[in-house]
Parts: sequence; structure tokens; C-alpha cells
Amino acid sequence: MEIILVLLPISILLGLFFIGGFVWMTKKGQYDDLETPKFKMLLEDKIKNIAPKENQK
Amino acid sequence: MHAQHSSITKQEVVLCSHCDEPALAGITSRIDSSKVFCCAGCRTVYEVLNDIGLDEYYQIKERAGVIKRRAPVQLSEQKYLFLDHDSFHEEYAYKKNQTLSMDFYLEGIHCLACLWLIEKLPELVEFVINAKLDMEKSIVSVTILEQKDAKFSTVARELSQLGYKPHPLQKNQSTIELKQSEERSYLLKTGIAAAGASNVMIYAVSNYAGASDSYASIFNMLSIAFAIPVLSYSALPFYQNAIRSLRNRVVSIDLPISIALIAGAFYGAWNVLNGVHENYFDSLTTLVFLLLLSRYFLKKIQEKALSSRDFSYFYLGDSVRRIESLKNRKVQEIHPNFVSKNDYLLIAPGDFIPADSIVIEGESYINNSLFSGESRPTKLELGQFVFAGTQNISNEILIQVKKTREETRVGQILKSVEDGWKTKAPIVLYVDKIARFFMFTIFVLVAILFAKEAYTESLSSGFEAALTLLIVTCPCALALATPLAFTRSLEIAASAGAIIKNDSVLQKLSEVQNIFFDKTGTLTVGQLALKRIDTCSDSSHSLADVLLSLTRSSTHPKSRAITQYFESRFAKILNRSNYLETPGKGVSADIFGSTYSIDRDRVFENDKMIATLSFEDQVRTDSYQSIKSIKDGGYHISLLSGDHSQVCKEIALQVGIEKEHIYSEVSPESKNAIIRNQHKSMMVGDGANDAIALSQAHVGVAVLGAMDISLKAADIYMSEPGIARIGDILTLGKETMYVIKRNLAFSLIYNLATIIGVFAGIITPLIGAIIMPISSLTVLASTYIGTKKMRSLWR
Repeated sequence: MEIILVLLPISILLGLFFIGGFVWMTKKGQYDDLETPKFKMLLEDKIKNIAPKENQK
Repeated sequence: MHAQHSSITKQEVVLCSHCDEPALAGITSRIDSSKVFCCAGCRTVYEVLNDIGLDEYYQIKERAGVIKRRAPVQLSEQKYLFLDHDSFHEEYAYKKNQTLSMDFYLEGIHCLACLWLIEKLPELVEFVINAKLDMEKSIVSVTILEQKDAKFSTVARELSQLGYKPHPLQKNQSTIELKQSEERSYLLKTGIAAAGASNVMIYAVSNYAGASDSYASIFNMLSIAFAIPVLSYSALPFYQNAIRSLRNRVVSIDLPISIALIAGAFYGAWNVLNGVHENYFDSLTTLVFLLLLSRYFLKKIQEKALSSRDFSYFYLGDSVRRIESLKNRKVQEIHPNFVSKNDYLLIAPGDFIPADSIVIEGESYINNSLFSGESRPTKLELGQFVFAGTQNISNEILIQVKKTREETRVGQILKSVEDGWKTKAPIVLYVDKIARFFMFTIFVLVAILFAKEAYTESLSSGFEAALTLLIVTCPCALALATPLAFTRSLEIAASAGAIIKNDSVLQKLSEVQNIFFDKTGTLTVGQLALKRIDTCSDSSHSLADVLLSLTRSSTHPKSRAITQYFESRFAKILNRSNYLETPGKGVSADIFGSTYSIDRDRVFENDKMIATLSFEDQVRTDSYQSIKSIKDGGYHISLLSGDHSQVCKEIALQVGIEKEHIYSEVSPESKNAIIRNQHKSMMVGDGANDAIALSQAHVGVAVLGAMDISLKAADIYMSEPGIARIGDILTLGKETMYVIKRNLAFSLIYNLATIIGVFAGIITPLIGAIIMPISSLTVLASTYIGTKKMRSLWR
């Protein structure tokens, strides 16, 4: 069970790291617009050569 | 935008390659003849996109599976010039290192392809550095270089040529920044509460699982460490609300929450320091997180529904033409917000009046439907007062401004609408009442329990019992039950294209029994189409050419129908002179020596009748099906129209409304009377023309007209034309109330059961800490699972 004494600090540090990341992202304004970015990722590639899906109007 | 012509759409429907409207004019692309367009504007857009290599747009559009592109707007070079004035920049543009940026609200944003096209703006206009679109708000922020030939008017013209109508947004740096920082800090609080709660839960579970004493005390110390930021920083809004409610001497739901949080934290810390393992940090932090999360959702959805009111100046039109003085008639185009008292404005036919004014020159007819609810044009004479928001119809007039913006009649109305947004649903008030009574009872019970335990047992066991009761009866499930269900339903409605004004509308929806439908624009397409021409004697020129030449510059609906009909059949435009349009009567002009005139539905050549015309307003294809499904829901359906009884009968027959439920030739006043006499009625109609009837109904649904004005009178605004979604909305209202009642019943049973449990001594602090978050979670789950019908609407 002594391994917990090693794992505990690691888990806490990891947790703090992600909390820090979240705070940083929020302050930077990454969560201000939750609608547009999900579309933007679809536009990254040049889609010229991909045929549009059929049976769609 | 383009009317469908009954006679030909039935055989062949070719859709415009750009906007997917029926392409009747037979305009083909000069680049690729297989592409057909509904109008020259769409063709231009297609060719422009092709030219600059952005034809990828059409592929993205197809992949996005979205039809209905907005057809482009016809523009003059003059348009949007007001965007370039320095005084305008001061109030609308942000300056930053040699660049200028301005925010525009864009009409017509649909999907991925729009995003792609708009963010390609820097490639279309050379001085544009950046264009960033927020799809949720439909706001694009355009940055241009600060140089001589860089103009926002060019950007705006480009945007409208692409089919998006831009409206500049006044900058309001301080409020925007304040709102942004508020939003971010709320998100931070929620996120930190989530992180804290989940970490505390890990240690709590270890302890419940039976960690040995030395580990348990480490875990407890760590729980405290993680709970501190949650209970101090994240829970701040609860404390603030509690203090505020104490100051105002009202009991708010945040008060017991705050007491439980603070007392629980100190008692838990005390226990930990004394080596007792029971602490409540797990449930306290989870409580904070869940409450913050539900409030965050609530806020987000409400914002979405409310954002419409920021654009309350739309009715003012895009720009107005001001002349310097009566003597010096130099015309300057300005934004409606820059109109000030005593300005002289030129109002062209078709333009909206931007401010309450007096007519100085000219006579005209105006559409006063915004105030009177009547669509027939009313005569406007010299010296008469004219209100902002009315539309000039026939002739150009010169007006002098008397009242602007908030002082105008429409401004006053919109202000009262804003206050109306805050109306709470009766059930919310009812729940508030229950909650208040409940909390008062809890305080009394806590005191009794404490006294009893302290008297019979010990002081510490009294404290423990009192705290258990306080935590376990914390009415968070009760507090979540209604707002959560309302919020989710508003969200579902919004995704289905219905903007619902507030919570109370949802409750009212569930009570509706009678439904009244307006005819024009609601059950029908709302645009006249030429149905038949009966010639009675020959004319000296081709009748088609004559009719087109007569009507092409008139804005009357019938003239437009004639123009569209013959333009699509390649009629020629002949030279005309002495053109005269008489409102309420018709048009006349001299063509090749003969005087032709159209008087209502009859066509004359030199006073000899040569033909009669019949017009028809087409029934929407989905009307019959929609009416049928609403009827199946057990509602009583009637048709309410100001039109002739014959026309109404025909339409009613087509959509399946019984003869005895037709109210035809009804004036706006009697419409109100009919609606007021009926118990729990819903009125579905045009936002502008039926404004009064809509506001009188138990629930008013606007299916046409500008959103801001419609929501003034109506409770629901449908962003898609037609009545296809009405049935869904009715179901939604009923189901929402069902879910709310289910939630309330659950949370009340839970609270009563736990009170009994605590008094009986069955519920220990440990069990209390476990059931409390579970009760909130059950309410959350119950709401999110909703009902089967709600789920199908969501998809």
C-alpha cells in the first residue's frame, strides 16, 4: 500500500496541471464561442477532389 | 423570395443552382450552361465565386446537406456609403494599430458553407485582413487596413452580394467586456467546482471503502484542501445571493444552501481535526458543481433566446437619406441611429420611416400595420404625423424628424417588451412559494431537532442531527426541477426553429385548446401569383409585353405577380410614357399611342376592356398534413381571415378546416373579440398584420415578419415559414409540464421521506451525504431523458 504515497502526489500534480490548463484556456477566451469551431475543423482540408455524398440535395 | 407560379411549377421544377429557389426565368450561366438560376443576382454570385476560384462553396454546401440559400440583394453603388463617415466610425469601429474593425450582424447565416464563404472575405476584398464569424450569434467581425481606399461600404456591399444582409453593430466595449469576463468567471467557477468535487469524491470513496486510519486521515486532509477553493471561490454566487436576500428580507433558495455549505464545511473540518471520518466535503462540493452547472446551462439558453432583442432597430431599415436643409438639398446617406431631431429625411417608396416625424412635402400611402394591425395602405397627407416603423408605399415624401429612438412610439413598445421578457411562469412562482414555505418549515424543524437531541443526548449529537437535516433537506432538487426542464425545452424549441419568449409561454402552451390560423402567409405562401388571363378583345400590341411594361416598376403585390409571370416568359419591355400609379386602384401608361391601364383586375386599352386577370395565393404544400396532425392531437382548429368568404372557403377546403370553423371578412378589431371570447386560444399569424390579435391570444405564434417586432406581440416566433412545427411546439409544451410535475413530485417525496428518516434516526450523516447528490442527479436525468416525444423532437 505504500505505493499510494507515490501515486498520490502524482495524481494531485496531474489534477493541478489540468486545472491550471483549464484556467489558462478560459482566461484566453477559448470557451467564448462554442458554436463555430466545431464547423471550422471540417474546413481544414482542400475538399476539391472529394466527390459530394450522393442522395443529398 | 420568388413566387412560384401555379401553372408551371407542377410540371417541371428546376431549382436555382445558387439559392435553390425554383428557377423560372430560365437564366443560365455564361460559364456553364447546365447551371440554371432564378435571377441575374444569383448568376452573378455563381460567376463571381467561380471567377475567384471559390466554387468549392457549392461542394461544401452539398456536403452540408443544406438547401435554401438566400438570394442576393440588388444593390446600388450608393448603398452603405454611410459606413465610411468618420462620425460613424467613432461609434461603430474599433481602431487598433493601423487597422479598423467593425462588427456586423448578418442575416442569412445557415451552415458550414456560410462560415467558409464569409471567412474567405480577405481573398475577395484585398484590404480586408481578417473576417471572423461567430455562428451562434450570426456576428462577423471584419478587420480592414486603415488606408484611403479601404472602405467598409465595399465590404458591406460584398457581403450582401454574397446573399448575407449586413447590419453594423454599435460598439459597446465596456458592456461586452464586462459580459465576457462575467461569463468566463462563471465558467471558471463551474470548472473548478467540477475538478474539486471529482477529486474529493476519489478520497471519499476510498474512505467509504474502508481505508485504514492513517490513510483515511491523509485522504481527509486532501479532501479539505480540494474543497477549500470550491466552497470559497466557486460557491461565491450562492453566498452573494444569500446575503442579498437577507438584506431584502426575503427567503431565497440560496440561503439554506449557503448555511448548509458553511455549517457543513466547518463541522466537517472539525470532525477531521478530531479524527472522526465522517465529513461532508464530497456532497458539498458535488452540490456546488451540480447547481453551478445547471445554472450555467440555464443562462446559456436564455441568452440564446434573448439575443434577438439587441437588434431592435432592424425595423428602421439599413440607411436613410438626409438632406442638409430645405434650401440646400444635398443628399447624404446616414445610418438610422444618426438621425436627430429636426432632420429632414427623404423617404422613398418601400422604405421604412426611421423616426416619428411630420410630413413636410408630398403625399403617399403608408403601411401602418405595425400599429393598426391592418395591412391595407392608409393615406398620408401633408402635415400629418407619421410613426417610426411604418412603411412608405407609393410616393417619395420629405419628412421632418420630431422624435427619435427610445422616444418614438415603437421605441416605447420595444422597451415594454424587454420588461416582458422577465415574466415568470405561474408554475415557477408556485414552486417558489412552496420552496419558501418548505425552507421556513425546515428551519423550524432543524431548531426542534437540535433542541430535542441536545436535551436528550448531547450537544454534539444535536448539532450532527441538525446538520444532517439541513443538508439532506436542502431543496436543490426542488430548485433544479423547474428551471432545468424549461431550459431544456427552450433549447429543443430553438433547435426546431421556434424562438419562445419565456418560461410562461411553455406553460400556456400546455393549456391551449383552440387554435386560430390566419390565412395569408400562414396557411398560404403569402405571395400572389397570376393564375389566369381571360382576354375579351384583341389589343394592338402583345398583351404580355404591355402588361410587363405597365407593371414592372410598381411595388404592389399584384403588379409584382404580373411582372414575375411575364418576365419568366421572356416578354419584352416597351417604351412607355405618362406612367401613373394610383394606390388602391391601379397603374396606367401610354404605350405606342394607346393608353393602357390596369384597374384592379381588369385591363383596359383606351377605355375598352381587353382582359381580366385572376390571382391566387398558393396553399403551402405542408399545410394540409400539419393541420391534420394538429387535429389528431385533439385541438379545435379555426380559420380567421380578413379576406372574402369565397377565398377563405377555398383555402379551408384545401387544408382541411371545416366550413363551420371559418371566420372570414373579419376586421382586426373583431379578430380580437373572437379570440378573447375563446378560452385558452392560440393564434397563429403574421407578426406585423395580426399583431393585435396575436397579443390578445393566450399564446400568439408569429410565422412571418421581422423577429423583433413579432416577438413584441407574439409569444413564439417561428424562424421557418409555415405551420409544420406548430404541432411539435404544442406537444413540447404539454410534455414539458409533465416533466416538471414529475420532477416536482419526485423532489417533494424525497424531501418528505428524508425528513421523516432523519427524525426517526434512520438517516445518518453518511447516508444523507449519499442520497442528497443522487436526488439532484435523478432530477437531472429525469429532465434530460424527458419523454419519448421530446427526444424525437430533439433529433
